[in-house]
Amino acid sequence: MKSAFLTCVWALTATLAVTDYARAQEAAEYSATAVAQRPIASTNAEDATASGTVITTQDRHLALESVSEAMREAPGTRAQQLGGFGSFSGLSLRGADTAHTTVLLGNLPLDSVDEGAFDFSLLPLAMLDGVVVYRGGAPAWLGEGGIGGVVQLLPSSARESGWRTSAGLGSFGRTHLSLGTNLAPNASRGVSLQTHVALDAATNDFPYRDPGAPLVTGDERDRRTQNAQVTQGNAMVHASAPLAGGEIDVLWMAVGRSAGIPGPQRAPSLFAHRQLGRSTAAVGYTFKGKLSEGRRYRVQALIGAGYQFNRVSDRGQINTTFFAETDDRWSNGFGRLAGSLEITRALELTLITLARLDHWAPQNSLARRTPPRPSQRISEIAVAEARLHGDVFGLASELRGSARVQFSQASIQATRTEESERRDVNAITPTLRLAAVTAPTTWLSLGASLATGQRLPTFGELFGDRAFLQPNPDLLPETSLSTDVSATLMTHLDALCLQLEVRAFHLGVDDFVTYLRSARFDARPENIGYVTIRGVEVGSKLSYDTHAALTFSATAMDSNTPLGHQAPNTPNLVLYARPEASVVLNSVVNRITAFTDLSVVSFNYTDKSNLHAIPGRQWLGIGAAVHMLDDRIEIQVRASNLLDQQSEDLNGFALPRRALMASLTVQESL
Amino acid sequence: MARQKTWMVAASLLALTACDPESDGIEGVGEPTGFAVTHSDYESAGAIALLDPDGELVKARFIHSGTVFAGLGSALSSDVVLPNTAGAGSTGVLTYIERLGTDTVTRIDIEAGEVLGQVLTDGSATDAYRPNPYDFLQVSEGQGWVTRNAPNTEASSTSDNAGTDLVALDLTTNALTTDRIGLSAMNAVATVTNFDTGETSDVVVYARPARMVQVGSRVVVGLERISLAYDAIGPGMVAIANLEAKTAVSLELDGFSNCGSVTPVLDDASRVIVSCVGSFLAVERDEAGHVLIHVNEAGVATIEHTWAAADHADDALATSGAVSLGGTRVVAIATGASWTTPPTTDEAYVLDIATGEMEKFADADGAYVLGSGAYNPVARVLLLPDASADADGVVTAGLRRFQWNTEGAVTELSIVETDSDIPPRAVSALQ
Repeated sequence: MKSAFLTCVWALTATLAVTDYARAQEAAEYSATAVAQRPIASTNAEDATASGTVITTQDRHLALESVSEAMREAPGTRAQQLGGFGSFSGLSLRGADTAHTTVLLGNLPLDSVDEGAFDFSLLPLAMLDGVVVYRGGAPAWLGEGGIGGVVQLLPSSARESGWRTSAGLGSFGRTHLSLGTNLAPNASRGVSLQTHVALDAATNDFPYRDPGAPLVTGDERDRRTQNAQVTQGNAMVHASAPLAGGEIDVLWMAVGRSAGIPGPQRAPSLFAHRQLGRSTAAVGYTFKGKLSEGRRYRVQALIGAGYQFNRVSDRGQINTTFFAETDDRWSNGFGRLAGSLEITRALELTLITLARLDHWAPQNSLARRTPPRPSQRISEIAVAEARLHGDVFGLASELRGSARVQFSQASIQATRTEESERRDVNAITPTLRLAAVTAPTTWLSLGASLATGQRLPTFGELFGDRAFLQPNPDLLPETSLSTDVSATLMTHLDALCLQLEVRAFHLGVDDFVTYLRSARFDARPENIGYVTIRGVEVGSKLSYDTHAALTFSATAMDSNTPLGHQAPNTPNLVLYARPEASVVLNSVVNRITAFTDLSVVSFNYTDKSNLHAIPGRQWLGIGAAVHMLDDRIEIQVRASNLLDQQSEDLNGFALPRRALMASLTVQESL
Repeated sequence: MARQKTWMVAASLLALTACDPESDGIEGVGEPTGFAVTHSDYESAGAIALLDPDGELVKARFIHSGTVFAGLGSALSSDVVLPNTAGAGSTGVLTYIERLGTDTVTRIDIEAGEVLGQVLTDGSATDAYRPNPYDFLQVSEGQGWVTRNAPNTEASSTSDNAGTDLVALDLTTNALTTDRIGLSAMNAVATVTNFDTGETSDVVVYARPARMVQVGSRVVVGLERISLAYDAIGPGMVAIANLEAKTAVSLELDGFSNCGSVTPVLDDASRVIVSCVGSFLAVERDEAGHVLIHVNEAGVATIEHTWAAADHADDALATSGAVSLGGTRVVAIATGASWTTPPTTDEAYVLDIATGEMEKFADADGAYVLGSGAYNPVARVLLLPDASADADGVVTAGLRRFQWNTEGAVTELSIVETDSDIPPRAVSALQ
């Protein structure tokens, strides 16, 4: 009974197991309302009033699983890809555009107002302890907001000394090799060091059906994707140590990728190529303690820097009007100072200040027409939050109100045909969030929240990516209002555990920006007016001891544009379900887990007029994992897209057909 | 019972995802038709409406981007144009050209709603060539010619798939033929300068054939003469093609550039108006204007009149969307600019190429919204598409109509609303 209960606690409060280099142990000890006073059922540790869902990376069974695939477990999410491994993979939250999702690595922003949608394919899942997906308003402590929401990637950290290596193979030339080492002589209080390197590759030569001329039959051709090969390397070093009563945390992550740019299959490119590199480093220090009457406080300082380059080589196959031999470089610096203090046992105040400098230096050696010139933006952000918590009429309750103000000074060099103009744009973008939750019982909580959002056009949107994404220098900033009501249930009956979150939401975005495909199969960001998206999202995790589990998420949405139509790229239904069953065997073969998964995306339109639809898809998968020799060895195999459907997320870019993947992982504790 | 209910809910959800929107298909139109109007959001959506000979709407969205499910593409591209002239043997047929990215020529029997043929103009499945067809000229029931604007840098200039050419389509088999008139002899070389380094280099300026008009036994083909990377433009030129002999000669248009537009002169089978929009790499006005060309029975072309914008610095730069009103009079659009301070909007003029007289008769609410019109000489009515829309993208104009009386005064008639979502871009007469 005890073990069953512990299993249940592990399954249901996975939020407590995640770590974050910047906030270190605080999530479990400090801010998790579920632990602090009377428990309030919550699917995330940071803020019980937020619509956040934690996805842990421990004990997962999908061979060569990507970050995007893992995030399907969170309701309200929809991954959008342009092809196979290594192609762009963005995340849409509650039907908003992928650029409306803000991404943090711990508390360090990975994207900014100056990049487009974050590409989750750049990070391997093995480098993360978990992912927290916040829809709508995000916790003030993060310091960031997004019209769709915020995704917080939690970098993995060493808990015990050991090593782990993994090798994988898959269809379409997919290969994987990684090695990780952990050093944690005193896992709870001492120094820890983790290193991780990974090398991945794929040819991505998956088949597709070229429909030929659209109105006639007989000229269809079975072809294979060309020029889609990808080679990618990732590296990470993550160290933490106690210092002066607090904890210092150091993180460095880097990725390099060399890849062909295959173009849309209907208009393929055989020679275009891209190289990109990205490096991010951060040092954080967190100090926390208690004052009189047990009132707690915490202080965090964080500085970070990032650098990246993007080299595109294209002789008019992707971008038909410009030749590109580019070497665009971004650099940024980031600083954060945050503190919170319980003024009384019922009132906590939080103040966060952030500053960020982004610099973009484009270069195109083939630029014979007016090339873009360097642009930069300086952003200063202040966030203040008041948190009231305690019993109200005998119900454990919490109320949070926060305000965020961002002041941006941008110097942008815009190019329009042959005219180049420098624009100095100063913008003040205030946003607010008000959220409350109450817990009638220890296993049920009811909440509601309201958040405003603002987003400035990014450099990526203003200047394009030199390939598919065309620039639009005339984009207007977006403003949004999101509201939701929620019910969260976390309970167990003996060994049967249930975590269920149900939310109804409404998102209204003025001057909504979405990418619209052109006849040339490139895409251009456009303001399409005031768009509303309302819907219901459901997420659940059901488990019975260690024998069976069901992970389920679904989002049903209804969107509306000024033309009275469904918003482009916004399907009405996104669903993911994965039942799995395990059997425990012997000391050699410890455990075998088998699963099947179903990923469903209903049809959606590519255009404002709702003329052209991308059909819905139903992807069925199956797989198994075998744990051997006290979990020292794990073998995973799976097949995805078993029905071999030809599908697209963005029109013209076919997704891989049926694929087989397998991996072998060996690990040892020291 | 509970289990049954669960499965029913699950099945309903799956059924919902399987319910993709149904395609409309193409519905035949029995009423008489006289004009076709293309609509495009210049992004993902396109549609073609049909009008009767008086310009009244007969069928909105006769075909559109979602008419059928088209796999990795759409049923109708947003980069769609109608043939410059209704060719021989095309009675009762809607023909349209989908340009870069789709690269097809399509013919549909209007009354039956039947696709007579849709031909890919790339000619080969082995390379990534996108020919960007610009115009189609049907010369008989069984043959038509298409201009392929883009060069194929992966093929030799003599290859059947070299691009920068006119290539014949067999309309009985709906296939590209090997009959071809290569225009690479009209390529040129230009020097370009790298903005950053100041280094200069020579690049090929490709002929880039665009629109064409049949004049007797010859076809006048407008040439854009732009380099592959759109970083150089050559001097103005048109090609005079002999379809029988499969040859072409050039006619230089001194002082002009970017001369891809050719318009037949109303009721004159031996003259065309070539419109040159000038260089987008320099001051457009310096090399923009109109040229009236006469082609005699022997196929010799001569320039009869020119209107050079540079010589009329105080007049509007009206060089787009030319429509002949007969003789030397032409309707032309002066395009606005949304990025200037203050922004300017499109204006429509009647211009006499011979005398230089110019009179504005219409203006629009925005820039790049007045498209290419069509003139009904019997009713003296000009149909002029106006793509103006409000900030939310709702079309606020439509197909505007202007009528000239015998004294030459013009009156604007009521607007024909052809589509509420997708703005009209061009209108052409059907045969």
